[in-house]
Amino acid sequence: MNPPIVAFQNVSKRYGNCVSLSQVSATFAPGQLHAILGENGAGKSTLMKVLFGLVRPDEGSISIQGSTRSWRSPADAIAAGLGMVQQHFTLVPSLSVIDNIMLGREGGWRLNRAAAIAELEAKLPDASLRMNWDRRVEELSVGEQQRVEILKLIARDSKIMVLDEPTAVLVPQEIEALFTLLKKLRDQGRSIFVITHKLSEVFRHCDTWTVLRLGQLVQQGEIRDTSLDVVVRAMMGGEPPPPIRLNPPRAEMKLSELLEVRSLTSGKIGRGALLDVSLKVHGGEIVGIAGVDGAGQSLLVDSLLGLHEFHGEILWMQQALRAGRRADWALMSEDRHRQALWIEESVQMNAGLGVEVQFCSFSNSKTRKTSFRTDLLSHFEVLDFERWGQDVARWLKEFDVRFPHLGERVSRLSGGNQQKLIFARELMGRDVRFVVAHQPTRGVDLGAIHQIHQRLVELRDRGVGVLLISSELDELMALSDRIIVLESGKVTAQFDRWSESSRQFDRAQIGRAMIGAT
Amino acid sequence: MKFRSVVQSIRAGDVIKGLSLGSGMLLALFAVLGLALLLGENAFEVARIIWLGAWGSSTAMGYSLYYATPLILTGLSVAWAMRVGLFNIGAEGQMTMGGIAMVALGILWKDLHPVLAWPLALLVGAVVGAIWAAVPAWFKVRRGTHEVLVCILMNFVAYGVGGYLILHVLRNPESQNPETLEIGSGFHWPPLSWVGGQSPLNATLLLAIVVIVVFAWLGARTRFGLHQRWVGGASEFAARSGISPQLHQVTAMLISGALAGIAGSSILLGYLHKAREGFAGGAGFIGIAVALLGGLRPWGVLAAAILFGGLQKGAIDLDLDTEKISRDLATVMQAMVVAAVAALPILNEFWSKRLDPSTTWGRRLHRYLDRIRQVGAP
Repeated sequence: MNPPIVAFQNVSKRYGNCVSLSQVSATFAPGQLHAILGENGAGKSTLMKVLFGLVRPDEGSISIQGSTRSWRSPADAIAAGLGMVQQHFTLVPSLSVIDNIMLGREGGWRLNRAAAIAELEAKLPDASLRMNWDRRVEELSVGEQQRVEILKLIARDSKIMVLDEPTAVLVPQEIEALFTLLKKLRDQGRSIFVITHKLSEVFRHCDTWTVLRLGQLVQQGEIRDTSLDVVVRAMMGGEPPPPIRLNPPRAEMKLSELLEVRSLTSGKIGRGALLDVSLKVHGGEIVGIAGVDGAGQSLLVDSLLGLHEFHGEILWMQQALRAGRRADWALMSEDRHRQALWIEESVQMNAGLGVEVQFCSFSNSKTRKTSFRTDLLSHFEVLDFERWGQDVARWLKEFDVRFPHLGERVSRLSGGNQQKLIFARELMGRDVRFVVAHQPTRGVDLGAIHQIHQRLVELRDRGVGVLLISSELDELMALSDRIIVLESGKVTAQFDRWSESSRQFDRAQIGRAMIGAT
Repeated sequence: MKFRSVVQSIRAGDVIKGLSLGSGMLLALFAVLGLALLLGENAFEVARIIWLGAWGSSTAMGYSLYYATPLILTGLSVAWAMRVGLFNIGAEGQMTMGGIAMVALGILWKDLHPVLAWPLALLVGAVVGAIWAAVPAWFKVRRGTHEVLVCILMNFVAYGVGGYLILHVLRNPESQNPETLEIGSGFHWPPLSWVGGQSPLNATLLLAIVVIVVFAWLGARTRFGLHQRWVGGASEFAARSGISPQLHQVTAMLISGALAGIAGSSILLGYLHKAREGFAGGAGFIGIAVALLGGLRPWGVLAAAILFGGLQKGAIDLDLDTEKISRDLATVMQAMVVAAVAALPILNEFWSKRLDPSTTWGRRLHRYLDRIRQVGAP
């Protein structure tokens, strides 16, 4: 066997109190596609940042092709043939593709674009990778921008490439194209590391897998002699939860129509606007909204909440919705830190904000739960923080939120615990009839994802209507009764899990509708 | 019981915050004393004069508290707006206009009985201050203009209009000074000579303290106060929970204006009994520093305002008792304090690093806090 291209020896990294990596030792064979797996906070990104010189390990060393190296900065790593594509792209939107690729290695006073293009094209594995080099990056789709990032690494002759969550922003077709490209680069002899948490694509495309959990290396192996179960168990440190089963809807549920949106048009024409969108949500069903990021999902939510002007009609139980959010709606916002949490405040505060009327000293929690009191006097009622703390502690326990104490700042909680806290607040503090769940599992670990999914299905079975907006197709296909596909602000297709016809769920068809190819 | 639970709730972060503030104030003090040294004065002597000048006798203390009184109100005004995410840099103008309105009422309605005169004067001052603040609030919410810009412009308008009212409309024709006629005796607030000796300290100090108590309660214990801070801390979250950030911002600006509007009462109703041109004397701007130093909290504002009042009095004594130092040193000292507050994040980082749990002292601190927590645990 060849000597390992990359080897970690007892690498440790601590941030203050928090151990990010602890004594990680691992070796990776050259010329392969390595998947680095793990939950959020498992240390997979940190390990790769150590490799790329972005993070200095407290202990341990790395060796490249058998010789021990230590980087002072990423520049050293790049010079040694490493390259990394960050999760957030590092491109200049207003510059052309070729200018972005040349940036940082222009060589001399005059820019010689023609020479740079010729040099790059000679290095490409095949001609299909050629792009229109003169287009500006801001005009490109996310998938194309990612390709520019990879081309940057090719131009720099990177022998070792690291991609941080490359598929998080891509639709199924783009994911396939990405891995096809990565395999070609691998066949040129490069070693490629992909950080991800999507196991299906790992099993379709990668050669080896490495699982980290809580900063420690759990297991490594070859994909071809491993089953999915083994990897999930390694990631979670226990038995994987049973898959979610969706029971067929009961007939009487269909009758209660909760929300109807009629030809909703909102926003300026362009990215994120909505054009003539109509949809219905009944009690007892989960309606999934599929689409790439920026297809109009945010404006749809904002319009429902009365935060954005719109044309068209939004009906709640057949009556026009008064501006603003209803108290019997639960809301999981897309941008957790800004839209659903007061991030500098305590766990206790965040778990009760918005439903705090019931903690007023004179209030009777039963009567207050369902309505936002807006009369002037209710604003000057005294808050009973003791009751607030007790009630909230009960809710958080029920939803299995882990936190050190109620006074801890909510920003210290993990993403999964934050999202479970939001769930607890939105569901326990109100009598919920309708749920808007916008990217409810983004940045959340597997255990928490399972709990959140289970809650949503439970709500549906209780007769609550759920609008589930997600860019994870797996999630939508597992949970939804119906899927509506948004593309550039328009509804391009609708699918029904329970229908007999051709409108049943089909991954490829949904994927095509998401990028507007029908 | 209460005290014990407070002690138990102290976290390492609070200790670090306290150390940062304390060390910042010490650095500011050293900087000022160093400056005095450079000027050729004895630094210890300077420190002694400042201290005794501010707190050495009941008259000295009275002056310090008298200077502090308007700062309490302008400081609270700025702090309240800032907690809702607005920078009210217009407290000076609001104070000027509110003050002139109070004096005008006192001149026009000379024989009003104190029972009516006191609340009515405060009401008029608050309303006029709030109106002055409503302009930036309206522009902010309706047109998206930044409130700082409009507030500054409104300050200039207040100087102009206020000067005109004092010099031409309400002017005392028999006085050489640019000042108005006297207000009726029903509007006078009594001096607090049992605290302040010969100083102009008056009962408006108690008013300011009552206002602090009310707003501390309002901010910490009521839904309204919580919503106000929520809009300031996480406006998108608040909006998505059915709260109107715009409405709350307007309300906060009106409250802020009203507080600044009555900030002149100590000078006008308690001491001068008339308005002089420029009576606000920058109290609206110093209020910004007071608010920041007080951590935007009502009780903090009270403490910061008293500190600033003392510095002002101490610097006046320095002017008289030393050769080379003028009363402008008060401004320098206030600036140093503001600089120390601005440097708090740096100090915070410094102390966090020193008291990180992985260091010896950090370990000791955490062990000590743990022990305190266990002592009272049931």
